[in-house]
Amino acid sequence: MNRRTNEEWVQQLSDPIDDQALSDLREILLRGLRASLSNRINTDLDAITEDFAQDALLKILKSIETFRGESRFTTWAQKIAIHVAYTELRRRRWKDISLQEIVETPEGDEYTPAILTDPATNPEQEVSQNNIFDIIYNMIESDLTERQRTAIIAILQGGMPIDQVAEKMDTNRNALYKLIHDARKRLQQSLEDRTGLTAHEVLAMFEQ
Amino acid sequence: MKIEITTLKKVLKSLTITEVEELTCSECFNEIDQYVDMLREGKSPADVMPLVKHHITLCPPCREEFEALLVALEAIDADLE
Repeated sequence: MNRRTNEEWVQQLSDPIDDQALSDLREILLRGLRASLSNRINTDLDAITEDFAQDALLKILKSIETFRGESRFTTWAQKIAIHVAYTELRRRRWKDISLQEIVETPEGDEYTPAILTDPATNPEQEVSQNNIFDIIYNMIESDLTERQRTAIIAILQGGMPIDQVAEKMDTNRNALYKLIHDARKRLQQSLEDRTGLTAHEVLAMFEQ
Repeated sequence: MKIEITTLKKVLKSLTITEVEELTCSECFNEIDQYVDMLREGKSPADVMPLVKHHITLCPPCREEFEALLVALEAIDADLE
């Protein structure tokens, strides 16, 4: 197979498309996908990677003008193929599992807070290993919006990937990331307000 | 909403690595090929692209794709040599 420069790849995969370049890129994507998926897919690996490679090729050709040349072209193309494949695998894995199911059905020990009152009315309570969990529990219950709470529990407790949670919440991965980032920042501040300690300090105390 | 003890620990840990400025998944995706090439060339991309490193630490799907990309590129290079 010819080694090509980035410029050669882009030129040969732009109209009019060079068939040999397209065939070579397809072969590269297939090799990469087979290697990265061989541990995850037990049957029909070749057929499944063919489908992913085909979908990826279409995306690559469609977005080739966005390639900025800051990496090797083959790295850029392979990241698109990996993204296509892994997004689809995550979708298949989680498609029949509802958000409600994942949020309402914990698999481990459910936490029962000792203090069910809103600690916002009881600021600066003394922090001990015993009540750190109460504080975090109450922060989650009282400081977050319903959507923030649902997303965080689905991801951290249910193990659902963020793109799948986003799909089920009728939003997109970026918007959900921002929603969760805002939630984490809010909890971070709330923890400091309630305990006078940073999250690092609380964790260190907890791990003593 | 039912919350597990392990979830409370995970929330606390996530707060220790929460930064004011973070990349979204798309922003990380836009940079990850450059990050991976630098890593494979023996450079230290985390020094010049700390936000990418931070995002893949925090975001399991992006980390999964980053790791898969490394495996894929290794295989391609092995085949071409």
